[in-house]
Order: sequence, then C-alpha cells, then structure tokens
Amino acid sequence: MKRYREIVVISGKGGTGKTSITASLLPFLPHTVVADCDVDAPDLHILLQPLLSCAHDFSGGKKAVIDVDLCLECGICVDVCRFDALRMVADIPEISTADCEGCGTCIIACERIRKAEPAISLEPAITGTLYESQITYGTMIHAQLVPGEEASGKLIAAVRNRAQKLAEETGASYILIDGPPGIACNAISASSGADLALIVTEPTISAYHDLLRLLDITRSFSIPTAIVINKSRGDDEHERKIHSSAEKAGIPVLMTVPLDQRIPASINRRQIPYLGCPEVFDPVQWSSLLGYLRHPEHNSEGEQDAG
Amino acid sequence: MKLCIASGKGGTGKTTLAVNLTRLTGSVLVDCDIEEPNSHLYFPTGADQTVSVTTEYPIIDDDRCDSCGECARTCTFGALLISKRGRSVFKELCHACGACEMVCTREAISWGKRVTGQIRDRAWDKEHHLTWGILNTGEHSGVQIIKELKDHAEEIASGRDLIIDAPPGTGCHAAHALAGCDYTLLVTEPTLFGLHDMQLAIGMLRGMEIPFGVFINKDSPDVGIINDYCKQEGIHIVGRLPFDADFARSGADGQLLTDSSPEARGAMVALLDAIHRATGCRLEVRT
Repeated sequence: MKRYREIVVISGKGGTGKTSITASLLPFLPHTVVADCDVDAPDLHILLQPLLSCAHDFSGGKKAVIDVDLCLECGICVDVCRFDALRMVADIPEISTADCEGCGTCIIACERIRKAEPAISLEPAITGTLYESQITYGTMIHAQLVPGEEASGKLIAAVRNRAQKLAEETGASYILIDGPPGIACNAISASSGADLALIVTEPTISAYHDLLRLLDITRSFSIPTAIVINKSRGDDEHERKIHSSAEKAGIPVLMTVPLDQRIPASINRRQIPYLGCPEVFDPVQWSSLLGYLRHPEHNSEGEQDAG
Repeated sequence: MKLCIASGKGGTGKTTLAVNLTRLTGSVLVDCDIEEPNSHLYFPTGADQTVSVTTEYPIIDDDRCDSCGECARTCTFGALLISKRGRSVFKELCHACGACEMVCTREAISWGKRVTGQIRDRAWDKEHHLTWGILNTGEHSGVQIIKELKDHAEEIASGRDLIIDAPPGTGCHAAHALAGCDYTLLVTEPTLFGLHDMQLAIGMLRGMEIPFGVFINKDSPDVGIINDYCKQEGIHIVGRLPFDADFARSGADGQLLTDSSPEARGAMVALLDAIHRATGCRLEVRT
C-alpha cells in the first residue's frame, strides 16, 4: 500500500525557482526520496552533490536502422515517412534519428518492395541515462536526456517509477520531485497522479500568463495544487492578479519569497538556498508552507524542525 | 538570416532579447516556445489572425473492418485496440504515421482531424510582425506546431530576417526550434545553474553543427564563472546586460527595454554589431 506523499514542484515558466524551493524543502521533509524530473536541464545535483550509486542506459523507444547491403535504393521509405526522418544522400536513404519516431512505416513499405526481409529494422535507441545516488538527506533519482530526444516524457516516467518503488521499499514518507518547466508531455509526465503540485511562480506578466495555462493542466488532471510566489518586489499588480486567480480557483498561496540576490549567491556556493540564507525565508510563511506540505488537510501553522 | 535565441536554463532572458532585438530591427519574430509563449505580451496591440493546427487520427469503418487486428499489432504507439468485444482508437496516442492504413487489407481506415493548437499572427505596426504557436493545454507534443510555425514564418517573412525565440531546455521542442537556423544566441546568467544548462545546450548546438555565441544576462562583475568557462573553451561572448532592478521591473511589466533604457538599447546595438562580426550578416537597426 502506498504510504508516501508525492509532491511535485512545477512552474510553467522556466527560471522561477523550482530547484531553489525543492532543495530548500528537503532538509525539512524527513524520509524523503528526491527525484529530479527536469531531465533535459537538470540542476538539483549541483546543490545536493550526490554520490552516484548506479547508472543505467535508458531506452525510450525504437528507431529505424538501415542495412545498406540489403537496400535497393528505391526511396520508398523516404516517400512514406511522415516525420521527414529519411532523405536520400547519394542514392542511399539516411535516417535522422532525432526525427524518427519509430513507427515502422518505412519497414512495411520496404518489405513490400523487396518482397523479402526488409532492409530496415527497429532497434532500441538509448535516449538517456537514469541515475540513483546517495545524498545527505537519503536517496536521489535523476536522469539526463540525450539532447534533442523525443522520449523525455518516458524518461521522466522512469525516474518517477524508480522513486516510487524505492519509497515503497524503504517506507519513505515523501517523494519530492523537482519538475520541468512547460505544460506538455514533460510537465504532465512529472505531475499526473501526484498528491500535490506546488507551483512556483513569480510576479511578472509572462509568469502569470504561464501560471494560468499550468492551472488548466493541474485542474484537468485533478492534481491538488498550491502556489508559492518567488522573486517578489513587494505587493504589486502582478501579485494581486496571482492572488485573485488563486482565490477564484480555490488554491492557496502558501508563501511569498522576496527577490533577493542572496539566493543566487547561495546557489553559486552550492548551498541549499534555505541553509545559505534562512533569513530570507523565515519571515515569509516558511513554517506555514512546511505545515501545509505535511498536513494539507489542516492548512495550519506547522512546526519547524531542520531534520 | 535566421537568428535563434536559446538558453538551456529557463528564465535567463530569451524572450527579453528576442522582443528587444525585434523592436530594434523590424525582423519577423517567431515565438517557438509553444508550451508557454510570451513574446506577444510585449507587443500588446494589433489585429491578430489565428489558424488552427490539426493532427490526424484513424477512423475505422465498422462495415469494412473484419477485426483482424493487424493495425493494432502494427501500431508502435498503442493507439489502436481491436478485440472481439470492440474497437478503440486512442486519438491522443496516435502519431498519424499511417502504418495502420498501410497494413489494412480491407481499406477500413480513413482519417479524422483534431485541433492540437494554433498559429497566431500579429502586426504590431507596419514594421513589426510577430507569429507564435500555442499548444493546447493537455496536449503532449508540439513538434508539429513548431514545424508548421517555422514554415509559415518563412512564407510571411518574404526576405526579412527571422528572430526565433526557442523554448528552454535541450529536449525535442528546443531541437526543432533550433533546426535550420543560421546562428544561435545562447542566453545565460552567472549562476552554476546557468553555467550547467548552458553547457548542455552547447553540447546540443555542437551536435547540430549550429554556430553560436553566448550572451550573459543579469551579469554581475563579481561572478566570473561564465567568462572563465567561455575563455577556457574558446567560446565567443557576444554581449552582456547587467543585473538591474529597473530592467527586472520593466520586463515584469511587459515593457520593451530598448524604449525605456538608453543603456539597454546600447547593449542591444552592440550585440547586433557582434553578431554581424561573427556571421557576416547584419540585422539593420531602424531609426
């Protein structure tokens, strides 16, 4: 039976402070498996300095491979591919692996022309690497996508599956996920089915626009949602808009962190922002944020203890 | 010239650079961050034109289908389910590759269309045209929208330069935004996160054989990590803009820095000069 709470930190817009908030929460959530699901630009390891326990190649699907000795150079594969993944180079079809979606249409066409074994086959393609590491606060699951690859949603699902399995085996209380930006497959794969989506936004015209699109996602996937405002420059029009939209949607705004250069300075010392500058977080509802994460049903002031 | 603005890390200032360079030069702005497009917020007025982007999915003709199941066995995306109890098409899983139609011996498959997003055009004034893609919320992939948006941009540009605002990261959306561009401006910030994600983006750009230069945004004289790395790797730094609370506020409000700050305008003009020296192509500043 599942006993852990899965909390995913997402943002819509990039650069709002997902990784800073995720890392800062970690010392306060005991028995946590942490997962970095921003697989095409992961940064959490910079702050947590994990000790690598194991690494596995990850295959997110198959890609077409041509045996040029069998190829009749007819070009039918180029004609049938709807993803422009094939083109003729000096009478030989060449496959762009980044564009190939592994549908196998070219193989069906090739087999018909040759009336024999096709010159193309689908082979498993390595689209990333999955890592398991030890950190001060337990175990971290992370990954790195091969740049440009399509299968990032599958790699994120693999990171989450591993984190869930580990949490079950070890009786962990939490899975804390550093999520990707955006609203498409990556964000959906990182957050669908989570117990809480903690959205980190900032008071800017762009982040507000992106927040509304992300709220659409958490609503349609029925993910309980709460908001943290980061990089606040004091009460302004943008913050009022965030509060008003949150209130309309029945979503709590748990904390408002000021724009403060001590946070990037902590990052540059490889220090978890809360631990580097607690004086930035302590006055701004940090303890009530922790209370909410531990007991969302009470929505009360929580106790603060640095695990 | 097709100038792409990319970053690795999100929130470093891609859109800030894209909108201000567009404002200065009158190039066509193409916002390929289809998950979270923001460029249009900086050009808030003008008549919009919207066209839908559609993708196809198979429709099975029950009268023709004999439930042989060959289409479902062939589909590598699991978008078809054929059993004695019935036939199901999972539209969201379909990649519209056409394999099911190819293997159907009874011509039972035809194609329906569904909307996955939009391409929108805005003429802000006579000299400034922007076009952007919007992925509908709940959709998984916007690769098709990015491809169609770039083709559309080339059509409407009729010889004008393109400034392409790419999505963050090194995933498929970023790669498709970058494909075919002449030069990339890699925007970063002087933090270890900015450095690390820039290194990942450089790996992707080198793999794609796209020439690039680095722009340091939110620069601080006290932090030399980006300078040091670029020097060591022989990477060209084509410009920088200092961290400034006023710049942050202007950007937050959707203001164009080139209109409000002579310093920012000067940095952008210098950047255009540096791009000219690097590529031989000049984006002309409009007076």
